[in-house]
Amino acid sequence: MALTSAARDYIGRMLQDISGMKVLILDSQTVSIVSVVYSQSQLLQKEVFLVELVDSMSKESMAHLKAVYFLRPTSENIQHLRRQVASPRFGEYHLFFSNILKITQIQVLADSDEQEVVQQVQEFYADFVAVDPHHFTLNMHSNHMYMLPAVADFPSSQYFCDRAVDGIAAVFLALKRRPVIRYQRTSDIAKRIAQEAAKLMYEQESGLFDFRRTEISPLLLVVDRRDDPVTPLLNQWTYQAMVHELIGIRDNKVDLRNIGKVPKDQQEVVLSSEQDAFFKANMYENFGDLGMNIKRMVDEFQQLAKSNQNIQTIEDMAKFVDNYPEYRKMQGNVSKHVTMVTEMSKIVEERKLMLVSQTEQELACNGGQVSAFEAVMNLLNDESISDIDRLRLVMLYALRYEKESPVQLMQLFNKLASRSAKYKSGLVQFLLKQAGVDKRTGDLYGNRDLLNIARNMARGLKGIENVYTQHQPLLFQTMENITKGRLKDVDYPFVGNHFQQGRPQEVVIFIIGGTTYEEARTVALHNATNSGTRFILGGSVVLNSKRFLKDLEEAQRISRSSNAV
Amino acid sequence: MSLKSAQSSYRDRTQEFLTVAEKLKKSYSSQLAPNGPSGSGGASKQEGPRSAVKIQSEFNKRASKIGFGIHQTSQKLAKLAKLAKRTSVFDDPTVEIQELTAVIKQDITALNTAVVDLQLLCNSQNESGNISSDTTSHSTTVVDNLKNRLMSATKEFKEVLTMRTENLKVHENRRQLFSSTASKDSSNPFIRQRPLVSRAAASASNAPPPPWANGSTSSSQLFSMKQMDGESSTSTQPLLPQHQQPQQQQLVPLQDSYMQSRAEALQNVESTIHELSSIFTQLATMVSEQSELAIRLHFCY
Repeated sequence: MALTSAARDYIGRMLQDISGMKVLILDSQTVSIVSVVYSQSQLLQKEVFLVELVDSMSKESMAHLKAVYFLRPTSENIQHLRRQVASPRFGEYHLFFSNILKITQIQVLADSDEQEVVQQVQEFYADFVAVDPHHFTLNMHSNHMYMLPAVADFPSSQYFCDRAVDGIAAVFLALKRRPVIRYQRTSDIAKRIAQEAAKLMYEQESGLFDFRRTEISPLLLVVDRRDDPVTPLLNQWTYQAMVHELIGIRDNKVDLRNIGKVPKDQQEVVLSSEQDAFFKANMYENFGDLGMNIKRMVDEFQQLAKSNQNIQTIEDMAKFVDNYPEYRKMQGNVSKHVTMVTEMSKIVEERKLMLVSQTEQELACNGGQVSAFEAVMNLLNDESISDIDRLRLVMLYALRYEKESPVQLMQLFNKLASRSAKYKSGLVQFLLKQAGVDKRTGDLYGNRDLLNIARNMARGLKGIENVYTQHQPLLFQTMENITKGRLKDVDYPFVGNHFQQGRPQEVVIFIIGGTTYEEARTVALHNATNSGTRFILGGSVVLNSKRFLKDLEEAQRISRSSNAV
Repeated sequence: MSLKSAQSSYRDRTQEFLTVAEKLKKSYSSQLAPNGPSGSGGASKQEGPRSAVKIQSEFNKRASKIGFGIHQTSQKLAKLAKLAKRTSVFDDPTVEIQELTAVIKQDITALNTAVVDLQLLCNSQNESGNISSDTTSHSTTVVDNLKNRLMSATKEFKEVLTMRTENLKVHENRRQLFSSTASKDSSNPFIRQRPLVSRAAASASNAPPPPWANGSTSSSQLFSMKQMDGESSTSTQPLLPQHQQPQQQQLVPLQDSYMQSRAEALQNVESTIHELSSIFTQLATMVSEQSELAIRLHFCY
């Protein structure tokens, strides 16, 4: 049950059955879906000589090519397709859709196929961007939608839900499973998505989801990002999460254009655990260990380079020529990682992130309101701290000590407003309104029941390995509860009358509002322990703090304007 | 099936697509089938107006042709009238007049049949009934107008011909006045010309008889030539009468043939008038058929 292999299998099947030269036509969404699992050279091996976007195609006729469309079944795509099929540019049309087609859409397409160029119409359920084997995202554009109240029925709110349900359905179709569904009680949007997914899987398309029964049904848990607003606000110190937080990863690609002198071929680098062994080994390592591993890699590379320089015999030459592509690849890989790590350490230095992060972790993990207030106040007064870090510190403080000292909280707000020019007033309050303690289901700070308090105390006594990575996302607890069968039915009710019997062996957790790489790491580490339950994490986007704050601002703006009306 | 279950699930909807396409094709063609006749009906309806337009344009073309024909004929008539009005005895353009008369007669007959055809066309259209009443009344008006014009042209032609006969009569009278001998010779008015010619022949001594279509100046020249001849050939006087005699005898059959041609011309004119009158009556009946409309049109104008 690995998502990347499932997606790759889908793409491979749609390409290998069609012989001859092909053009692959994608939309803005499926281009991500394909690009994370298939490289350009792999596509070329499948005789795909051209990749085009469905909405920006040239007019040139290429009857010698066979067109392979892989699209989401959206109405815009159907309209594009309708026009293109009506006046065909290519010899054959093979249509693949990433999700369930409506019968009306088939009718529209059939109606426009006047010249009978359409060879096949298939549904290949690769409707998710599989960034890692156990981690998928839907790359949803209007990700802020989940924070808006469901009662104010925004037109795009339905679209948001539909896309999430589509993605979830596709994951289960790819895995050939029909899950029991649970959701987070306090979140309206989680409830809605869970119920719509259940309706789709058990009513509308029950035939499609009727797979061979496993003894224990897998579980789909739909939760809301607002249940854990802390994780996306923290600075990250493990490799993958850190790159996303400081530079930004999009569909496993890192854009290095903004960080100054980079060689041309390295302006955009691929950071995929599937294609890069070093990255796969180190993606969950913390920054310190990463530095050591990089040093080792560079040493190895230097040795190789030295041996390459030392060419004396014909055999050496032959060996060198043989190894040269591998050598080039390694050189590229080394320079890629070195560039990124150099860049990140530069940013860490500039923004005093070590200092900031220490306080962040304290705020997230340990008690002590008075000392926390002092630490945050000090950092707010520190000139070298950037605006975004100040904002995050205040947010973390506010989330933690929402109820304890309103006066001090107000002081921090005022301080923040005076120190950072860009700060939009009321954003922290909006966050509290959205994700305050009253809204949350999970025990975010581990201080609600005695057991958790006791465990926290025990952890405090045991001592912490690394002060920067002591935070455990709420997901960790949730996963633990699931594996131990302790997830409360009151907090996470089932949809319909499909209940769980026994512990689930396969669990998909879908976080509305986006996942973080820290959570992905938690899931990966859990799966690595082989406890008998395997998890897949999915979300509407992959968050970093920047994206989370942007969504928050957008939601605040919309709810304000709708309140004004 | 077992092989499929190993792979991730997918759904092949090609069959569905094809059935929908098939169904659409059928419904399209069945739509076409009732639509086919109605479609072609629509086409014929389209053709209908088109053909109506075609007929209409055909009608207009013919009408304008007839109108043009009438115009040309009336021009010819004017020419004929001019010729006929010539009262000079010597310069009588009989041949021209005859030719013109024949041509005009032909024209008028042709025009008449054309008008009748047009009328038939117009009627058949009116009967077919898919033409608006405006078009019908228009075409009827056009036909009526043409008929009227043709009739007036014919009338004019008749007048011209009558005038011609009058003129011929006048000529005769004149000749009778100037050459009583000839008139006594025969009751036939055409023989009266003989003395005229004989006198002319006598005066025009050895010159061959000039063609009658010659201008009057030439005849006066002839006259002067005769005088010159007379003066120059005084020495050959005794010879001349001898010579003149057989010449005069030769002239007689010539005069006879001329007289005959004149008679023919007159007969021609008379027969033309006769024919014209028949055309006239034909037209008259046609007009009377349409009289009601003509009256109405008169109000319109």
